[in-house]
Amino acid sequence: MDEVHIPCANVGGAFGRAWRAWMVVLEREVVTPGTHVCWVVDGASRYLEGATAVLADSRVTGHKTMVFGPAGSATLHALDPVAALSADPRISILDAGRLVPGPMLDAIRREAALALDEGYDGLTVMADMDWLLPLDADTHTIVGFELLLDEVVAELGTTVICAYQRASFEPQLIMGALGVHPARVGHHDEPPFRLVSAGDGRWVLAGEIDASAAPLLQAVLPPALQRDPCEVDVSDLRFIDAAGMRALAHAAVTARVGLRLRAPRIDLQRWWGLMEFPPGTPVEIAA
Amino acid sequence: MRTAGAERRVDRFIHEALIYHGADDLVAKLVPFITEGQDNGEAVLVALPPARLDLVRRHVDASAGGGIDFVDMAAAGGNPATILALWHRFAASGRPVRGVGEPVWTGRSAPQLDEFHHHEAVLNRAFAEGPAWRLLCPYDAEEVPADSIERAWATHPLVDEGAGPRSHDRYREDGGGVLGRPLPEPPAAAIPVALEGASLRWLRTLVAEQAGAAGVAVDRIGDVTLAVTELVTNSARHAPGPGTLRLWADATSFICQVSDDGRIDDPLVGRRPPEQRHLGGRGLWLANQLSDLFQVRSGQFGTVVRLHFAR
Repeated sequence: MDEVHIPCANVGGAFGRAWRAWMVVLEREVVTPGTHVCWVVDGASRYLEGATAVLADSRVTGHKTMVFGPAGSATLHALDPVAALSADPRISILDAGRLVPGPMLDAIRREAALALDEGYDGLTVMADMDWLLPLDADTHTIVGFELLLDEVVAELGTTVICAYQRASFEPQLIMGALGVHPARVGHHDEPPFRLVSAGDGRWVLAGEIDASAAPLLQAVLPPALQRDPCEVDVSDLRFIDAAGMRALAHAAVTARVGLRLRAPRIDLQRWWGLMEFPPGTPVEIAA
Repeated sequence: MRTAGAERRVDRFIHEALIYHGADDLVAKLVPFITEGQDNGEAVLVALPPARLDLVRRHVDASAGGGIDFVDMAAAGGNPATILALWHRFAASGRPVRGVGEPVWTGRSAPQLDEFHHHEAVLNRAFAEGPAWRLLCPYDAEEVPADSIERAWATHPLVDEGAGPRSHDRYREDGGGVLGRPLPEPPAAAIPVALEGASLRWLRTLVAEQAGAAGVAVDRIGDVTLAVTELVTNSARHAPGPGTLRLWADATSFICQVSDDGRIDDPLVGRRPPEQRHLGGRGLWLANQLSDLFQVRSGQFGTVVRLHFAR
């Protein structure tokens, strides 16, 4: 594991006071605090090595550390010395073994507040996503959960690293997960699109959306469409086809939420007009 | 049968050709058709090549009756999709209407000419179930090729050669089999790309590079990649086997074609305005709207969809 320590200026966060930041190189890529990271990892030993380094470094800089993982797993046990808190989310958080995002996100909020009360400078969460396996949740459910988690991470300024073991998950699920994390490490293909929180109920949609990616987009959009109107920055959207535009229109109609697509770089306004969606389709393209 | 001067409205879509001989003859025959519509209280839309448009405009009172809209057929572009959408909107306006459209004149390129004859044939199908209105299509026998006049007979149930519109036995329900008539083969220099296993993203990069190299304007390259994406997606979805993309350029256009072993029977594919009751479909419609010319042929040879973009 390459590991470097880079001195940083103090960074203000949602914790309401300046806290000393850290950076660590994980899989040859820099992880900065306050981000939601998708780590595609090959094998338990590699996970253990990387997680140990990140958590140890995080603790040294005054952050509370928390590990999620399957109960009784060797990695969860092995990380005990560098984690303030280890938990199996299925037991400690989830209700009846179902992936219901609310309790999980509330737990992270609680831990962040608690860390602050306890005098820590921040909270770092390392999640071995193998904990999801017994839930048998589908790609859309997991990616939708990650989308909501991203909003919480943006709100709290915590660091959450979600480790997806390549051997444990379908490539399509990993690709979907990569698309809803603002930061990605490990050896992976670039996801076709990214949908991440911009804070305050706003989102950023970037990348390329065609018929191969549109079904995933349509499936994961609903949790993002909470605010009405919902603003989505599309300035880094490099391509969208009819299937992608249909996915956006469908999600807005189904959620009964006005969708405001902001600052397109591509010719989205004209393309959208040519689609001749039914009058009243609640999507607006704004400069 | 309606004849010029009669004052009652039609009860279905009437598509008629007017075979005329030069500008004076056009004015003599067209002005009574227009004023009759105005007398009926109909809104009239007149779409003609620019020189003809100016001429006719001088001989009618555009404020009478339901009014007259004039459309420059040259400015409306060389893609029949634009014209079909124009007629759709006009016919669906809820008012009593009649139209004049001269889509075939000497300013058309050979592929455009072919496609406008196809367009004339699909109009019969496009409006068969819709509102009742009259569309008169003038053809100048002194200027357009004899073959075009022949095809006008095949695509119009009524033809007026000077003695009023009459039905005839040269009309063909399928417009003379336009959908099944193969397009000219792509040139040997066309770049073939097997679509099996090719990612859409990779194809877009390739198409954008080739379009740029062929001299397509920078601000149209996005249109080219989007339209080709729709063709490839449509082929993957509907054809039994994998298709082939071919890219080439002629003197005026960059051309992208997707061929496969599928079969399309609907002559209005990609030409019918999107269904307003749901959000689905629209891929080939979008490709048609984005391109300068959209050609679909389907028959024993499979299906070929060809797009032209000005270079």
